[in-house]
Amino acid sequence: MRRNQGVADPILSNENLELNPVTREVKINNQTHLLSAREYAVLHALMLRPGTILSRDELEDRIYGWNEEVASNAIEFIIHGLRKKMGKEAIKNVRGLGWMVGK
Amino acid sequence: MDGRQIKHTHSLQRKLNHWITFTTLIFVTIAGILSGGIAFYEARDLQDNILQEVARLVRINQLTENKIHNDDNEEESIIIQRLGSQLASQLQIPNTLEDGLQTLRINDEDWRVLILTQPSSTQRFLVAQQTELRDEIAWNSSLNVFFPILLLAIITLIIINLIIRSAFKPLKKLAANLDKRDGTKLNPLPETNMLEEVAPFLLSINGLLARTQQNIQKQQRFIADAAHELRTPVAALSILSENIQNASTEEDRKQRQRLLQQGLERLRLLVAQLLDLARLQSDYTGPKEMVSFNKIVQDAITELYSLAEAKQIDLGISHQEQLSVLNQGNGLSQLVNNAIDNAIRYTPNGGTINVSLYAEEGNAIFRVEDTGSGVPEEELELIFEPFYRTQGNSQPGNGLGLAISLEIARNLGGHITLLNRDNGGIQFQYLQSQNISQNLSTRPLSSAVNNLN
Repeated sequence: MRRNQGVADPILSNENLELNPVTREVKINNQTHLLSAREYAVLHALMLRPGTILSRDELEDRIYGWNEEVASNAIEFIIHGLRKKMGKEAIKNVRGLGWMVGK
Repeated sequence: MDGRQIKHTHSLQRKLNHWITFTTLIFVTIAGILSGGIAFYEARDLQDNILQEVARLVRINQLTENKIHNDDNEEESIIIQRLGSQLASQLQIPNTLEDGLQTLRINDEDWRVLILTQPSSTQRFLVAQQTELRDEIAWNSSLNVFFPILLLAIITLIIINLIIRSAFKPLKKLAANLDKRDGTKLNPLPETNMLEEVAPFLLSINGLLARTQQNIQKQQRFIADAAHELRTPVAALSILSENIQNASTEEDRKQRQRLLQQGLERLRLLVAQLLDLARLQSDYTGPKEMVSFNKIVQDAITELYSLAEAKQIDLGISHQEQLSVLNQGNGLSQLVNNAIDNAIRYTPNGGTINVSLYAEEGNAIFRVEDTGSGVPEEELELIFEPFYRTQGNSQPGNGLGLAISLEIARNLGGHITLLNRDNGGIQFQYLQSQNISQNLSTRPLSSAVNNLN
């Protein structure tokens, strides 16, 4: 697909948030938060498939490649950080399966 | 038979008749030829004996020449003649022949000739009989033996034929009885005076009749229930649609329209479920394929999560093993969705629903455990019936979900059990063998293949 003038504007959005890949900012309830690289990676993965549960393994795949060991509770830690910024309801945890964002 | 004709490739009756006739004829022919032949040669021997007896009488001069050779009288067909006499009617035989029995050819005719010398006069005599004549007598006696055998065989065959025919009569009567019936008459066939060999078929037919009868009753009940279930929402919809005209404000009209749309949606769902059930109960099932049970469960939870969330129900997976099972269309998804959806409906706000997937002894086991109020023990079986709703059930729904799940399970060779948990709530369990051949054999594959055409 040819991008417009080479400038990507693929803002990902769902019912309550907007994620800007260029600025790595998330906008929720008219408030904008800057995300860390890992937070962005996790939220981006979730926002690519809203309404779909992503498992811990799937999310871990997203933050590998930073040449860092991924701690066993790394995803929980990142999600915790994201929820702190965006509110608890922004990311849903489905027990035993993983996490998802609304459509 | 009812205008239909089945091509009879194997008629037992005809086969029996054919073989009995065939073998009887073969044996009769062999017996006839043998005894006829024996009679033929014995008749010849007997005639030789007669010649010898006549010769004995000639030897002691009790019989003299008979010059008459009368063809018409077989009794006088034996010629006694003195050798050397010159009468024209006599057989011309050289005097040099030795005494004894022999067959000679005289004037182009075969003769059986016995030559003897009279001791008292040393005159030589011949006692003769034409071979043709002898053979005719022998042939006659052999036919006299053969014909009674043949006659006996024919009588036997006719009697056997009659016996077989009467033995098959009960079968024809049975067919006629079945033929006379119209499709609504399904009472069992009379089981008295039935042949031992036919009895198993009769019992099977009666069993089938009984099952068909039951099935028809079930279908009739289903149609009545379905009609009843459809009547209520249709009546409600007609009232709702009339109400729209009475709306006072635009806001009011929109509100009433929304109610109408919700009613229509419920009706649409009911009709869709009725169709599902009808399709599942018919033979159409479509091809089967291996799928990931985990994926199906995850998709169902994703789909229903917001429903659980709205009631603050903690819906999640408590245990899962990777399972691949045979599925047919979206059957398994429907079954899993129904189970989780029911659990959400009947679990009070703030409850918990645990979904789990186990592999046990070659079986895939899917469980949904809720913290709802459970179902009275006596109704655990009944709630599988179409349209059955438990007493005092205020939840929306048409009572078709479990009936549909049961049909899906039947098609996949799986098994559903519902039980009340000790500490409250229901455990829904679905068990399906992971053995593919077992799953495929639950229904002949041909029916699925046929429907693909």
